[in-house]
Amino acid sequence: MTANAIRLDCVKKSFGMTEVIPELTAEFAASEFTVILGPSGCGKSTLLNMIAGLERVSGGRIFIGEKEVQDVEPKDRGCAMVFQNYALYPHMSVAGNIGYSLKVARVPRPDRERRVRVAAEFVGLSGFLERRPSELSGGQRQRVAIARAIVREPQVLLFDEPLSNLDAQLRHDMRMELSELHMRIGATTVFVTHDQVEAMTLADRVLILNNGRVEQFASPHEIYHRPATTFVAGFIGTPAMNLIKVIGDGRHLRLADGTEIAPHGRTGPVVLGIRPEKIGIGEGVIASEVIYREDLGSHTSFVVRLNGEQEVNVATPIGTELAGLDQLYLTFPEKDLHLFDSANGQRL
Amino acid sequence: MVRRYCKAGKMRQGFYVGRVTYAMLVAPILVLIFLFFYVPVGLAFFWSFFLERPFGGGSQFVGMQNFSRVLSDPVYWEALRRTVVFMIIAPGLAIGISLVLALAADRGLRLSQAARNIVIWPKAVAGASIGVVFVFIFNPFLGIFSPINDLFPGLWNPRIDGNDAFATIVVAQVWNGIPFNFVILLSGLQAIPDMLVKSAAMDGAGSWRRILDIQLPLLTPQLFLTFVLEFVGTVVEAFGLIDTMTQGGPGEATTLLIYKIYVDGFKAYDLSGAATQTVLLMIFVIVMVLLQFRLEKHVKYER
Amino acid sequence: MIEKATGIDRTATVILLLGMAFVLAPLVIAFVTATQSYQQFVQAGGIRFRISGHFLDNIRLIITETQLPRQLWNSFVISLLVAAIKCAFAFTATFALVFFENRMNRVIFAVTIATVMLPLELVVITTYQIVANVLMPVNWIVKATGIDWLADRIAGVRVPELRLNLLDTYIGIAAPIATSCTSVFIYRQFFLTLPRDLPRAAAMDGAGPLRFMVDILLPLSWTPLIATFMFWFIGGWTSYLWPLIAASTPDAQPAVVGLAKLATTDPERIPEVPMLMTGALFVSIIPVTLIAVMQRQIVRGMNLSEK
Repeated sequence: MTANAIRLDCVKKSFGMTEVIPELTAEFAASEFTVILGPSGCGKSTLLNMIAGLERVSGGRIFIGEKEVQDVEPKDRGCAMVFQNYALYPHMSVAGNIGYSLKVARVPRPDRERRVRVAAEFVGLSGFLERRPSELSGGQRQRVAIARAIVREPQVLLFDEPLSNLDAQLRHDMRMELSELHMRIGATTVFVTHDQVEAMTLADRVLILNNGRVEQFASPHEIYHRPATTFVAGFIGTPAMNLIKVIGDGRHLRLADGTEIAPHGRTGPVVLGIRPEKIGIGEGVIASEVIYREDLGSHTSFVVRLNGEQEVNVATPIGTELAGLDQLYLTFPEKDLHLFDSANGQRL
Repeated sequence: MVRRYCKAGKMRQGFYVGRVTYAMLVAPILVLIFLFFYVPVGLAFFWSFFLERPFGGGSQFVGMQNFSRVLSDPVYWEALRRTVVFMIIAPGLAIGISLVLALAADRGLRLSQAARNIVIWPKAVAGASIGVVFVFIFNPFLGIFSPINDLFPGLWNPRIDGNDAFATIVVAQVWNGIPFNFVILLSGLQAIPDMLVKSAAMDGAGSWRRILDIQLPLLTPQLFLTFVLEFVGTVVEAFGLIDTMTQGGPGEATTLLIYKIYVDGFKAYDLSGAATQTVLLMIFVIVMVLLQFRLEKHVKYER
Repeated sequence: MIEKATGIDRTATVILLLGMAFVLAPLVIAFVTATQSYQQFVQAGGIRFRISGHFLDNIRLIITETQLPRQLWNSFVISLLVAAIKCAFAFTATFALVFFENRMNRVIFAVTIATVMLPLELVVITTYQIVANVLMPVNWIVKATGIDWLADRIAGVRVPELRLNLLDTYIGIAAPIATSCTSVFIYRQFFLTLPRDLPRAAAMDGAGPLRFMVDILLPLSWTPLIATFMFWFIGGWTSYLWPLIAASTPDAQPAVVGLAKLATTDPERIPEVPMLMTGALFVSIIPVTLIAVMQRQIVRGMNLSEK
């Protein structure tokens, strides 16, 4: 199966007066698994629909491979899509659902039946071809939707929050299956979600979208360890990175009231970011008052208050437990600090 | 600067955009209702301001003359009065009986299933057909009341006594009107969540109490709907009954507006007069419906 | 129900029995009388609750002596037309209103729903005029735009008054009955419960709007379609005032009108009551059977509780 890159060139979208995507340029490499991640209403589904051809672009160009497709009918773009609520045809059997696109394309019956069988086998549904969608479990319906998408051997596979209706265990299992599926068929895959776990586990690269703008487009590792903006920093991780407004005096970073937080050569106001699990506990210098604790078995998670106002999340390293203390002494190691511009939130 | 993408309005946004296909899909119904609904309504308004010249000589504008002619006719006012009386009695009885029947059928008794089926049958019987039967049943000499007439001659005679005649029309109308109200009210009752009735029982409310305090109040939207439909329905549905049972008589005791329009238009060939009465009746119906919908805001519950 | 409530249940049983009795009484009386011969009826001097053996004779009388068989066929065709027009036109229009994005949506929805407010029977007088010449609006347009004047001036051609009389025809009787657009309302409610992504999935599979309508929406809508079809069929069958006016000859009249004519053209002697009762059952048996058998489907498909 051939795979093609997708290139978005200054793509714009607005509904009436509302601008959903002001201008977006990005390239999703061939055979790569790209996840578009963002809060609800950020424009990620609109973006996916524009790639699929279900929504017209208001401006800009979309390329799939070498072909400019923004004015091409969905069926001629070589894309297939898996929808949020599966959108299976309730009155058709599993075989009917999988084979419908081939029927529309007038593929002769024997050929059609063979391809339906292959696709069903691929997702492990061979024994269910005559069932109706209503007789299947959530996970099985999901697989029908996937089989329906791959039966046309698309160059591009699009997923619109496909796991959001499944329970936690099934979601985990489907993630594994999707990852394996991607390895086997190798189509260029674009996957839209608001779930950071899905993004981090599935993606080769993650595109983080906020208000129609790209906040960061990088590998999961880089997104976690070098967030490009305060938005990304605050969006990724559970609990998310602490973001604290500080002022540098050239030698130290201080809170507004002058409390010394960490040594650093920076001057002027900046936003300091630090992940909860990177904060050192015990030997430190910053006194803090514990206002909430959760013992999760593997580790303990705290919410503490510095200096009477600034709340900070702290997590102990895996395998350590702390007894019920009212006060913690913290350190912010210099190598684990992230600094962001206090005006535009960009990484410094 | 935060720009938010709002999903458009309450109307769900359609997905397809093709204008030609769209036009093709809506054209049949638009042509149909234009020709056979809007044109007739418009024509009725037209003729209410014009007079048809005799011998097919076209039309002549007469302003409000038709209206003043109709409205100064005491016969018209009598027919209007009778229509209003009919519109109060017949729907009231039909809805009241349907409500009691629906409450009984909702109790899931062994009889309920059969009752739910049979009570709907009159919906499938034309008013004119059952009118033929009722006129026989109420016949003073041949029908069920003939024994009474043998004892007290002249006590029951819808052919002579206007009130008797009016009563027969009401009974027939109620018979015809029960099914639809029954179905609406029963499905309304069944849509009331079981939890509510159960929690009322936990609160110590007995069966009668629950009917009064829980079921009836929650049924208000359906009751309202039945009233709207019945009011509009009775204005016109009684025609089949009147035409087969009394022909508007005796005297004019059962001449409701709809029957008068028919007689004036098709028996007396007074096109303008009939059209004017049609316009007045249309306005009457529309005002009633709009009034009722204004009231509706007070009876809707979020379920 | 929750606790045992014998008292109230007993009351309910009595109520249901009374209700059924009220509904069945006229039908039973009609049937009993229909089994008697005219002689028996005259001798008894009126109503008599005894089943006799002359029902088939009376049926034979109806078939040979009256126009009712032919009129039954008329009723059937007219009712089919009414139901088919109402369902088909409303289905395509509602499909457009729900699944297309178009500025006209609101207007068209309002224009169709407004027809529900005024029943046809109110405006029969002028409906008669338009059905007597359905091309009347075309004539108005020709006059209003001055086409006739132009044609006369330029080509010297006199534009004739167009005429197409649909009185006494099946379509002319059925079409006005089919104008009430309640179906639009019912179908719309139903379409809005379908998954939003269905047309998108179809588009990805290569199916355009019409293909989607036929392959996916239509099979999914059988329940409301069949229910409304039955309901409008019965509605067409039982309508009276308009067919009475629009069909002037017995050959064109539906059975309900035929029956009423039979009942009212009697002279002063004792009317042929047994035959009339047989006739009343004869014209009602098809719709009543329909509603007795399909009751469940009709009620569920119309979704009356959610209006």
